[in-house]
Amino acid sequence: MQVRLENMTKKFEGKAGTVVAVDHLNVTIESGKLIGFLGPSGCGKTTSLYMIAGIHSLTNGHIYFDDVDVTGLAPEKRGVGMVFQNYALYPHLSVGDNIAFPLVNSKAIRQRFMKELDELNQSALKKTTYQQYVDMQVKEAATLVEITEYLDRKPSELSGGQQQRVAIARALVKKPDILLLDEPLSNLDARLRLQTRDEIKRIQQRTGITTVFVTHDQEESLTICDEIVLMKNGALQQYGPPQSVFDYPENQFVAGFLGSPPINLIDGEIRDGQLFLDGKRWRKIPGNLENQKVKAGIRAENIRIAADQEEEGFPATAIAISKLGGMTTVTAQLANGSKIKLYQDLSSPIMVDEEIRLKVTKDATMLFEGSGGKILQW
Amino acid sequence: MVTKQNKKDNLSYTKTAYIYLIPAFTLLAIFVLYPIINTIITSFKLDYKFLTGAFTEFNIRYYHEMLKDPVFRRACVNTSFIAFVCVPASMISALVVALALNSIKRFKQLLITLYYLPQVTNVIAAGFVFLLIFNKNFGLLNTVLGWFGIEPVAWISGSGIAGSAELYNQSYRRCLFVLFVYSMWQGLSLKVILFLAGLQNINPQYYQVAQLDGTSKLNVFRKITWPLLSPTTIYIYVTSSITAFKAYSMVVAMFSEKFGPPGDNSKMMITMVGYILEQLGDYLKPGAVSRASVAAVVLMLIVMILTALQLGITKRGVHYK
Amino acid sequence: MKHKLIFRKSLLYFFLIVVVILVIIPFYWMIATSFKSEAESLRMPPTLYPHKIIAGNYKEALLLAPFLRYFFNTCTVALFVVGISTTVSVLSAFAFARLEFPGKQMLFFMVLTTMMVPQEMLIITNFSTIARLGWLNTYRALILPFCINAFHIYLLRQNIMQISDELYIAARIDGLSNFRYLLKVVLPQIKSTVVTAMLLSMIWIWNTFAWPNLVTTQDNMRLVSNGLKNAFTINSSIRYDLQMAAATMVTLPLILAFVCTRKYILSGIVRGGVKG
Repeated sequence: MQVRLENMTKKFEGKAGTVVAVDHLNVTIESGKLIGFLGPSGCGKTTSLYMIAGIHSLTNGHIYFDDVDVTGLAPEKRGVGMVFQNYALYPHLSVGDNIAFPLVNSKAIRQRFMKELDELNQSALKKTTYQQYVDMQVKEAATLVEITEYLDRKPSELSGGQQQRVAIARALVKKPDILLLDEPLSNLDARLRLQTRDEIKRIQQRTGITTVFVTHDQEESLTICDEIVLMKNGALQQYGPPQSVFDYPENQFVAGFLGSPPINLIDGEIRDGQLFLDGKRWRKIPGNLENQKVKAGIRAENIRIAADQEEEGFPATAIAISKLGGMTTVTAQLANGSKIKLYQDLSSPIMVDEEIRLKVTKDATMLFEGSGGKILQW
Repeated sequence: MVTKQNKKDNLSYTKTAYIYLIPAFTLLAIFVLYPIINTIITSFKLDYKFLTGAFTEFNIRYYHEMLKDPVFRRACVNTSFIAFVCVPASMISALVVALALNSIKRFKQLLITLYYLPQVTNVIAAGFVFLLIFNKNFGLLNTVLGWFGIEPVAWISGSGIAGSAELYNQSYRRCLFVLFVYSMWQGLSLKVILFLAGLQNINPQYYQVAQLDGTSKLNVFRKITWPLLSPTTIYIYVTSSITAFKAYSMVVAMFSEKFGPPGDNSKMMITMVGYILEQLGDYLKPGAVSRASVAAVVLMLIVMILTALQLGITKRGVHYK
Repeated sequence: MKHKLIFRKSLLYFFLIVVVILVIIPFYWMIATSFKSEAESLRMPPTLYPHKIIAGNYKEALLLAPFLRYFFNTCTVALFVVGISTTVSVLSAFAFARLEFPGKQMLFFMVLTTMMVPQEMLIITNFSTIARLGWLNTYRALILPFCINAFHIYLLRQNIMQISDELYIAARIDGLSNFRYLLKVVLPQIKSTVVTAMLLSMIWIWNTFAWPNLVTTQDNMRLVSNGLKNAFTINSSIRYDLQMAAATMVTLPLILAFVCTRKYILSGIVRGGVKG
């Protein structure tokens, strides 16, 4: 099911005045895709999710599910399944009963499934009761998330990762048109996070359900999402497949938010068509740009140390070398004192205090103007 | 920035909320709010006739009269006795018992259950039993005193008090003693449980640090236990005092609706609530209900002051960690 | 050193046992006297234990006053009060804890302040109200005023607020109405608090005296407490053996109930108290 957000806006009245949580968000989520809503705390991603779910009303704009305007529709009528950061499992029910809950206790959902069952029973020889049908659905959902051995246990007896899977099963058992996840991995420890993350991707691909995933962890979204929606202060910063947003950020915020270690940002200046970095002239800039102050963004992985034989390269001094796992990071200092990070070439390692020359890969240098917008990338 | 309220603004159901609250507030309006206002107003109505609701004028005369009424004064004295003598006494005893209880492990549950029994005992039944225990001839207490060679005491007796002030005072003192013992017996039970809970709420790490520092037991109590117990102590004191001001059933059980030992016509042991209900008993007499209302208003003011005091002290002078 | 510890511990136990004995004595005396014959109960000085056990006192006491009827009344009133007040309290507590509506703060504050007002002040007007409605000597008069309990609403609200928001949202997304949510999700989780509230109400009904005494003048409508009081008006010739038998009959059911449910009752008292 395709989800289209048109000028979606949400304003809250607070003690300090009106807060714009989401500002005219325009995004189209294609059917069957796993989309990540990404951004720092307070950027509006969770509010957006809640608006798609129908928990928050819209101050302005529209939401369309397959071209049907659902803006004013109550949550239970939207066919939404939701998974929460804290799992929100009913502690007094067993895992099996938790998953079955929507099918048993929701009038609307029950009606839908009863109808399905009637149609099934018409052509079947042996009639299935509703309870049996529910059990079948529960089993199916539990198998999908691989939690079948725990159906009789209570949620408190399960680990965080297992509880999260139960939550996903409960959201999926009612066959929703869209699956929403609100920071589902934040409460898990590091190892479990990686595991469950891949599970979510697997489940999404198996079911083909349109999924929206809210997170503040850029690594999560970069690895599993088909597309990411990057937000800041309620406004859309960029939207697209993770790799292209990563490689071609549209502004300084996006460039800085994605990537670990964060992108190197160096103060610079364009003077007469030349780029000056940290006070020192570096290279000629294509195009006809005005003289202005800029910030140059270059990712660590796109910088390499020039070999002795090579001619050019931006001069710098290596001031620190640190090893983490398999990667060695070099901290280099430029002429005016700016520090940047890059990776060590293990075949010809350098030492601390060595004078080095830096070369940048093609298409990897981004220039950002004062307000953060990108002027050039080459 | 998604605050609790904001999280579900599309899901707020004002109509449902009001429907859910209607039963509670209907009952509240009829049996609580209306009575409060009505009682205050009635206290000013002179010669109020219950059947017709007619009265002569609004005046604070009944307030003046009541303050001069010796029976009302007696009621205040007795009620104050319960609130300011019996309550602190039972609090201190309860604290001692709770401290002892906190230091043992075995039989704790059994002891707690037994200590709490007076709280679930019918006040009238308990009153009867105490009456019997303090009986001059068949009472348990006099029997025990007899073992020590003490003559039987007429604990609850009004013989000869009409003529002699000395005998009256003696009878009064003895009745107060009986009341005191009953108060202690009843009051200990709840307070022990509450103190125990308060003690158990104190983080044991404080005691461990004190132990490492070699602090004496007395100092542990003074510097750690007592200050950390203060919110509980204040709560117990205020609620017990409020309950003390409402004392009625126990007095009726032991001293009958005449509020005094047999032979007494002065309502020796009357309490404030007793005064209210006694006035109310004559409800057909003009002005009776008004007088009862006056006493009720005075009682309410005292209780409100006490409660406000608790809130005030709890917010400021409490020794937290 | 160890001897000192044992000595201290024994001292503590001794002290606690002495106190317990003092607490238990009235109960013992009540039961012991109830089994004495009339003559023995009037012995001067009294015997410390019944030399001959007379069980017939209980039967006789039942004839003195319609105690069975008093029990029946009290149980009936308790049943209705518990049923109605629990429903009222749970609905109100849910509205205050979970729903958003204008005036919420103010209304809850109103409920809280009524906790401060002593029952005894309300008794006058409530008596007038009941008398004027012609409801004297009816069950209605005994039940209704007890159905509103601000303390229970406060306790239940605290408990309901502990259930996470997300559970509520999850339930609403699945299409549960507020009422279904209350029934299927909230109630199972606040079971113990509800039971505590019910038990506290029952104890209160069993022991309360002033109000029933005021609104019931007919013997067949009396409750246990004012019934007991009325059966033994203090005069010179009281049958103490029968009085104690009656007192025992009135006291014992509640004590048994307490012993069976003390977990709920004690935790409820503590929860209301220690948190202030």
